[in-house]
Amino acid sequence: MNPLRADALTIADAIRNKRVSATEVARTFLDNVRAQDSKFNCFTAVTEERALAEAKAIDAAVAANAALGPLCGVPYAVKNLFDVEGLSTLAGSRINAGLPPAEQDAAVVQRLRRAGAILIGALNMDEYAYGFTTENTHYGPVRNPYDTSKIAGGSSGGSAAAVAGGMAPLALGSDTNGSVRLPAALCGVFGIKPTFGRLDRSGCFPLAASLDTVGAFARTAEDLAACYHAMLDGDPDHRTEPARSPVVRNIDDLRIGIADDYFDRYSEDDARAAVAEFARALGATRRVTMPEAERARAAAYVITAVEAGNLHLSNLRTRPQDFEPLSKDRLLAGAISPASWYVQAQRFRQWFRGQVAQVFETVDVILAPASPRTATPIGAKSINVRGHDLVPRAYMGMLTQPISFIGLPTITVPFLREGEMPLGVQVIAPPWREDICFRVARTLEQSGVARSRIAASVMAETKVARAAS
Amino acid sequence: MRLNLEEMIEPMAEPLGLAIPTDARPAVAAALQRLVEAADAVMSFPLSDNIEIAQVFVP
Repeated sequence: MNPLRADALTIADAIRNKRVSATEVARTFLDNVRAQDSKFNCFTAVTEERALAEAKAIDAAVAANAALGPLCGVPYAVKNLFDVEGLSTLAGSRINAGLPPAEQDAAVVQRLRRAGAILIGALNMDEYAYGFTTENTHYGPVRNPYDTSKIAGGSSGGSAAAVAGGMAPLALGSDTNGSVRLPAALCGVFGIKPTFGRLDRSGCFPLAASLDTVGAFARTAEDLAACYHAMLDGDPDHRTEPARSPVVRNIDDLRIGIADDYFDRYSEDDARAAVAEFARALGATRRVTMPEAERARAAAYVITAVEAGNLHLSNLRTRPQDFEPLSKDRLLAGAISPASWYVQAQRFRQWFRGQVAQVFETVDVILAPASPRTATPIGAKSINVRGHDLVPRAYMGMLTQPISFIGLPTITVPFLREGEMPLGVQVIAPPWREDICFRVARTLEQSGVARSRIAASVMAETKVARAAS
Repeated sequence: MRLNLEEMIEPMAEPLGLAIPTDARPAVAAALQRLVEAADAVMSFPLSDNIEIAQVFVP
């Protein structure tokens, strides 16, 4: 087994059965990050000492035939807004670099550690998670492993690119308006944004408190489920299936809808074709409308700007020059916005939630494009989507925003095409029904229509390097 | 309605103790214009008085 090419559960299985040691796996991934990351700029810290210590503990547990967690020895990395003991929690900013190191891990990092996973580093992101492109002026842009001239999406761009580039089989991110779902699509990996409130956000630097959610990335639906369940561990209230179902339930009982209207108007032909391809594979033909989805996106935009502007008000007053130039203007505009905009947006949120609940009386799951189009060039100031001129940093997530606005659980399922940039489809379920998202994602993956892999460019370079050696 | 947002920024920022440099005002005005457009969409929607604000505070 080449651990760099293996999925997370295969790595855990190999370590559990003593075919490879956790230390060998950790060293392989750490070496690979050193060799590869200069091309993609995913990592802002590599936690080598910690990774090797955690791996050593796993190897000792294996040798002692002690109980092992479901992710034993699996390397992973986290968006740098998660607290990691001993590291300053950058949240993509220069300002936070001056903070003292975190005294303990974020709650979900503690849970992954209990599950046996090995932390190998912290990952680049848009400053304060406020952007959809991970073009970070302080730490450089993250580059898409499928084409390094293109964005990885954001704000969890480092996380998605690290998984797509084979530098980690699992990564954690956060999703406020689409910051897991969008980069997952643009980098061609699976990504989950659970129901708002499902996962513990303790130790996770906020963007907009009424929207923020912890999420994760993987290259298989099963790995994603295992990571998600590890993050839930200890939560007595979760209502989900076991991580590795012995028999994957089919989807015959699910009524599947295809989102139309707004989601058609703001997506390019290939993004809609991806949804159509998945719908065909699932036998879905019914189209459903989320009424006023465009207005929901507008309301989410207002709420995010106001909450984020307020959160950073103190530093905006005293050191505005230290903020990301690409998002400072939006934070300032949010900070000075009239209160009635915010209150009305939150009231509209209640109305919209009720409307979509009615849609979910007619279907169990909804498919929608995760992005208006494929990844844009790094530095692009404007994109045209079906006649609309849009700013990528603010608008690439326009199809994910209405969904997180009302806290729905969603998995982005990747859609890969030979010679083309990846796309993704949102699989959206009613609140607390992540299990439905996983059933549909697994079905799509097993049917062969959806898949993820390490980007071809990375694989090709590895083959050349091996041939040369 | 088109407002001269660059002129509005200072009176809106001053009560918050925010000093927005003159050279930053065009970008902030552009960001505020996008917010005005989004807020227009929200404010113009005929919500019933019975709709309460979304609750996010859990006591």
